[in-house]
Amino acid sequence: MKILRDKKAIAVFLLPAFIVYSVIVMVPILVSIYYSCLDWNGIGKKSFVGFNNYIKLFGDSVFRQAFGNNIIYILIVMVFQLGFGFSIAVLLTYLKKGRGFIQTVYYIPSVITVIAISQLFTGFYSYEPLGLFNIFRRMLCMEPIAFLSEYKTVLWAVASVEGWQYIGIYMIIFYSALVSVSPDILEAARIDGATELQILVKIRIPAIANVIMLSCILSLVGALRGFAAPMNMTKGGPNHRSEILATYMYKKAFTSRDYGYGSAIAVIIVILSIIGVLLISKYMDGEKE
Amino acid sequence: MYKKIGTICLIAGMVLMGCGNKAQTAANSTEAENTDGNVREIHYFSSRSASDDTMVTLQEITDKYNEQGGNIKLVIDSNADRTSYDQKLRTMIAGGQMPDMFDLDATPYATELGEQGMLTDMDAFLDEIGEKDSYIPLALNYGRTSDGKLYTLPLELSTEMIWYNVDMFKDAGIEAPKTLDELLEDCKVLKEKGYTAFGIGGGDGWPLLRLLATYPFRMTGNEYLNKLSLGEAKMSDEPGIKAATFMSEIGQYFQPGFSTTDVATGLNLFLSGKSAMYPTGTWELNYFTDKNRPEGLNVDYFYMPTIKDGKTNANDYWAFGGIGLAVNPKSFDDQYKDYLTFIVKNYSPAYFAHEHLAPQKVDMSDSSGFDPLFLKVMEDTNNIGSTAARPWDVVLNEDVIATINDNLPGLCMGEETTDDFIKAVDEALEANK
Repeated sequence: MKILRDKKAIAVFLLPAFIVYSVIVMVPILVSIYYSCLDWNGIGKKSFVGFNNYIKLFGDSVFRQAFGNNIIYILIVMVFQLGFGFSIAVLLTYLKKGRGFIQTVYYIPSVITVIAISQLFTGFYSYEPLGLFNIFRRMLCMEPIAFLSEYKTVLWAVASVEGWQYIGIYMIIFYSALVSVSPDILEAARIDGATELQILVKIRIPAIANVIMLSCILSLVGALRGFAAPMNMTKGGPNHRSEILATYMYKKAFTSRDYGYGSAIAVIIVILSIIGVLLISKYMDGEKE
Repeated sequence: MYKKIGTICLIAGMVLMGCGNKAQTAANSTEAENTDGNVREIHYFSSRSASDDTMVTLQEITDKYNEQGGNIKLVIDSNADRTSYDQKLRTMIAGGQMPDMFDLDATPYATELGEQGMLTDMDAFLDEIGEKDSYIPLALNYGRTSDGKLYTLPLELSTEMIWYNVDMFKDAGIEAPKTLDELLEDCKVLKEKGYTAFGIGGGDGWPLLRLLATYPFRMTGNEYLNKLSLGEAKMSDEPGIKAATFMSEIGQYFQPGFSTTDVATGLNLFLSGKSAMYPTGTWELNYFTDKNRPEGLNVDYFYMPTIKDGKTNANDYWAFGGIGLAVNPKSFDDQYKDYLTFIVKNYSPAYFAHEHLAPQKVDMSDSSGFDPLFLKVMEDTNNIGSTAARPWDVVLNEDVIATINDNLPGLCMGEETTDDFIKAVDEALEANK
């Protein structure tokens, strides 16, 4: 293990991962930045237009709508993933039997491809033939709803799919963190007369603050990159009511063949992801202090 | 010293592992070539499903070609979701990966590709092999781009109609509509009777586009559409306003959730007796024949309804050669040309045998084995008028079509006004002038 004390050796070990990371992550980002300064339709000449594509974004009402939708989309996804994930994890810590089974059942959706999940939920939301959710509504003497066509329901309907799918992952992360809190501390608190709610709020949550921060970042970035569910279920429609930045970027680049404009939206998504991560990180650091 | 030796060994090991894999891959590749012999692979990227009769016919002809000494393997990559197909094709071409053979409409995109010399000139090819006259002009000329060039070969001849449930119409006391006003009136009566008037695959885009294009076609033929594509007309012109108003009226008779319903679901709704009307084309004719239709379902069809004082006649309606077959000029060598010539000379009779209207003239002297419905539609096609309606998604710029597709469902649902719709389309037209 002496070799690991040599910085050159460490560099050699890190080099393959660094090269792979650069090729599959950094290079596409840099290429996207380059393309965002071009006017190119996929064939023929590429003309350099500087920041024109970014300037055009500010006047684009659909982009503004997609941005607004994306914020709501992120909130819904984070509430589902973090809220439900954390709640189930807490309940699991009190469970004595069948914990493994529940963990497995909740984790299964995370390993299924998003497209399959989207198709499944498209069926659940269906109005004609009547899907599962509308069957429940009818059993409750409520009128069926075309969830994926109604302006009021469509964004919630598509966002909750991605939110629901990854609840299991966050449940596992939170559960692992919660059980790592020293049982001695919890026992001492109980002896001092603390209620279970007080133990959760005053001991467990502060003890796993780093894990919560990590989960927030993962969930936020994941939601900001959300694409497959809205694209597959509604294509951003009707009338852009479920349009988010990623679907709009894809449509601009690959349907309208405005690769420069599409790349500019992609760069904005990257910038927003970085800002989101920094904000959460700063907030959590402030909380710790 | 030992550290340095260790580091060098590690690097060398990694490099050797890389080389080893490469060498192995090269060996496998050579082996594959040897096994295949001299088989020439033609990669066909298709927008049709693998079970589509055009695909089946092409495969049959390839087998026949190989039986006669040819050595071609047709590798079909089928992508039946049209939106996804278009996007994949454009991405492949933008990335310099144009397939040997692919489906392409005569869109502005095809014009651009043609101008860059990226498509084979089919006029020249058909002249060279002396087969141009074998095609039905309606089918062949549908594939011409706005500048009159031909870069694709038609694989079908299709007409579009609206199917209706005869029993529902009888129950409602109505007949097949002859005009667009009658169509709206019929929809109203059907709704009052508790029927869903239209089962439509709005999620796929084109069925709604066809209805939108109906009013302008009846008013002006293809003139308004051509002017829109050239930037000489706006959606806010009279035909456009009429079209938007018509969609806002007829939209209330579509099934709930139509904007995310695909064509297959729309068809199932109609075949299961849950909707009174279903717009489609002859490519789905097999579902309506006596032997294939669900028992007890009585159906008939009508073509595009007319308007009073319209420019086009009742026998002018949707008729076209379908999405055509384009060829990558870079791979179009003598062997490929020989194979394509064989396809052109043999395709239509084989396709016709599957009970489809063929793009070339075929011998119809013995029609005893064909379904009466197919023969009836074929008879209609023989009496078709001189002006065939051109689909908007073929003529207009893709960004304009994307805007229409995005905004049309809201207009049909009554969530957006005609003014909102017209404004959005005009902005897209202006941006893409």
